[in-house]
Amino acid sequence: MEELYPKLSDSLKKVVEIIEVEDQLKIELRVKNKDLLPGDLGSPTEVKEMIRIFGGVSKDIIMEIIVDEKAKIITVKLQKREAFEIVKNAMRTIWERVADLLEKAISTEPGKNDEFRALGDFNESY
Amino acid sequence: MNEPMEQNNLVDSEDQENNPFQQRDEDYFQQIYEDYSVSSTHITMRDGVKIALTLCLPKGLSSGAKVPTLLYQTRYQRTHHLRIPYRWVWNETVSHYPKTELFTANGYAVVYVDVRGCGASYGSRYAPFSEDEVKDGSDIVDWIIGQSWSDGNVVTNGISYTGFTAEWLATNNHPSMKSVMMGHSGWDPYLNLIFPGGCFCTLFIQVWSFAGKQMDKSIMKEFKTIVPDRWLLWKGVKPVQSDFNYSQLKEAIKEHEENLYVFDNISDVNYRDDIISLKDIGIEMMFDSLSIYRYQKELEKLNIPVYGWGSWLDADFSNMVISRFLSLSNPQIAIIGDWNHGAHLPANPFYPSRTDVIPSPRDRIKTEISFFNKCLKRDGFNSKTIYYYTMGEERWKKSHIWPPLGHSFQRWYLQKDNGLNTLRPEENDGADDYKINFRTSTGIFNRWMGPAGLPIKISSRTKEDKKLLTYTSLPLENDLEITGNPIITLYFSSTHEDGAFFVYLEDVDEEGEVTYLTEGLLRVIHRKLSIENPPYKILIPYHTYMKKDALPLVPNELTQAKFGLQATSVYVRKGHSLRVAIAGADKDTFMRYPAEGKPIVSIERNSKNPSFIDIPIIER
Repeated sequence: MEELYPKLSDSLKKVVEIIEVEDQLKIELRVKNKDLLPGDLGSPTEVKEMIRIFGGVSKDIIMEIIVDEKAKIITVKLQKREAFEIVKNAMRTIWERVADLLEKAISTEPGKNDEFRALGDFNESY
Repeated sequence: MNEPMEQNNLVDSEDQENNPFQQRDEDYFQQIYEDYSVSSTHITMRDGVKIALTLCLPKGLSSGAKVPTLLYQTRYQRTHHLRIPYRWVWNETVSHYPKTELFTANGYAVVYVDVRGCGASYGSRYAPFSEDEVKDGSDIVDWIIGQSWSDGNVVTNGISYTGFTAEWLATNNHPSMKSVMMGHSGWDPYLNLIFPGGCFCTLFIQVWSFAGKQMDKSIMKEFKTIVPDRWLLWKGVKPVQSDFNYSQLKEAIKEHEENLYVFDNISDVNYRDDIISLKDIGIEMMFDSLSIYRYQKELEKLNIPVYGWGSWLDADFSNMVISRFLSLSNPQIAIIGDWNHGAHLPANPFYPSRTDVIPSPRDRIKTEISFFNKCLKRDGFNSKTIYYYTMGEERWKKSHIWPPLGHSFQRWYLQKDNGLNTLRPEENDGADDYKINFRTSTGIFNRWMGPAGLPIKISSRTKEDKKLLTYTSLPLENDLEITGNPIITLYFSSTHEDGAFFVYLEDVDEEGEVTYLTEGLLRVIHRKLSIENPPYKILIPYHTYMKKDALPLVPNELTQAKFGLQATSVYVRKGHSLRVAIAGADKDTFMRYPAEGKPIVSIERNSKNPSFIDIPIIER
């Protein structure tokens, strides 16, 4: 499946529209994939993990996540302007990072994965 | 190291004729459908256990259209619940890419199944390939042929575990099964994977059992260290589509808590016929219970075409491809190449810097579809052909018999001063003492760890050979093709009752760089040569590995060990030398024999007791 990786960030840019609402300190992710089933959009925990692990945003930044399954819109609400700027900037390059990390992961030799260790862990519970 | 000529330079018509991946008849491979739908459900087995499956159907099937089905049964999660954002752009079958796309485009339904006790299926498992797991295959085929879109024909394939399940499925003799294809799998888990040469392959079995436990719990955290791409991508197994709140998945995982794992239950096992006692559930079994070789007659009964493939560099599976080719009367394609386990990466020791595998997964799968299409169209596929790749020469060859025409053995004797030549020693005395170095290792990227999904990188032996007892020939005066199983005969004594030999056949170039060609190993208590018929055809000395035939060494008493090395096909260039390197351990991979002590072995190399290696060559 490695041949899919180079197209990944472009696919994400095509499928996910990111809208920055400066005055309300919120960011909307509008996911335009008609085939998604209920639950596929993700839970608030998963969205936070995505922003933290792939966006490089610190755990300390408090955000409220609202997932609208029907409209396929995820809203990330921040409390402070500074936090909003951090998340906004992270989201502007997150898809490149998502693709880069996967490419790096496939070529990383077992045991030489310091970069991944530093990313932290996903919540594994369902 | 000077790398020999590149593969791509060879494109003459004979090469094309012999290359199985250029044998594709385009009439048999047609892009009919553009896309496919994905759905999933549980189906109920004869004993009430619910099995999860994912169905992929070509989109745009006309009303009433019927299609054949590719069935794929796994214990490694049939499809994956991807993490976000990956699942926003890829569907649950992406880990199988491009298999689903290509098969459905060709008008196949594809069914991915979690075997019982695994993935999103319910139930539990006390061993791989249990009787229940095998019978489930028939129930699933019954379900498939009962669907409105099914034309009643089912084919199956897989790699590694799924290759085993494909072949086990064929033993059910379901009349709807039309062909079976297995890659990198075997008939004899004792020798193929767990106890090659009677030596316990500790690391692989430990890693494999551990990974299985994590997957059965659908927890990916531990994969971060070994396969971080899978940790990034996979949240776990994909629940069936009606299971929005994961309640069914949680129930299924709860049932998996009863599962047993191989590593936890074979700590006392040494012999093929040792009883494996599963005390918690009152079951006693032997390795034979997991071994398809007992079912050769069943495999032959329907005479369905068989396509078995593997690599010269992966575990014991090249021997297995050859044994299957020799043993089964079915129409058959056999292929042995130069890649890693599953053919995702190159592994040719002459090309350590190569990064792209040939054929690409896409080309390999197209060839597989072409084979299935041919079988389903009943165009008289009734021959037996083996295709094999000669490493170093970089050429595909084909044969209808094995060993191929021109095959003979050339005997090379171990000589004084660490020499190796074809002349029988004339001196009455002569032996080399070797204190076993238990720090020797092939690392973890070797053929025995290959089935764990690791790359195979065992090319250079230059440094490691300094710890081994080696015998090296003068530079060859002519090129030499070695194809088949080398067989080593060692006359030796040891200071201890137990031990093991790890013998490597190597190529030494003009600069002294040493390249791995193949290897063989034997725990010496298994050295008795049996006169019984082996349970399937082999081309190496037969050791039963049974308790009745165990022969502990008598310290300091001369004895003989004769055993086969893994089959290979390599081309050694004029000016290069052959080397036989002997070790007594492979510390990162195998158990230590004996468990304690520092044995010294004495290898005889004289006129009375000449130690030698028979090298299978192809006359030109």
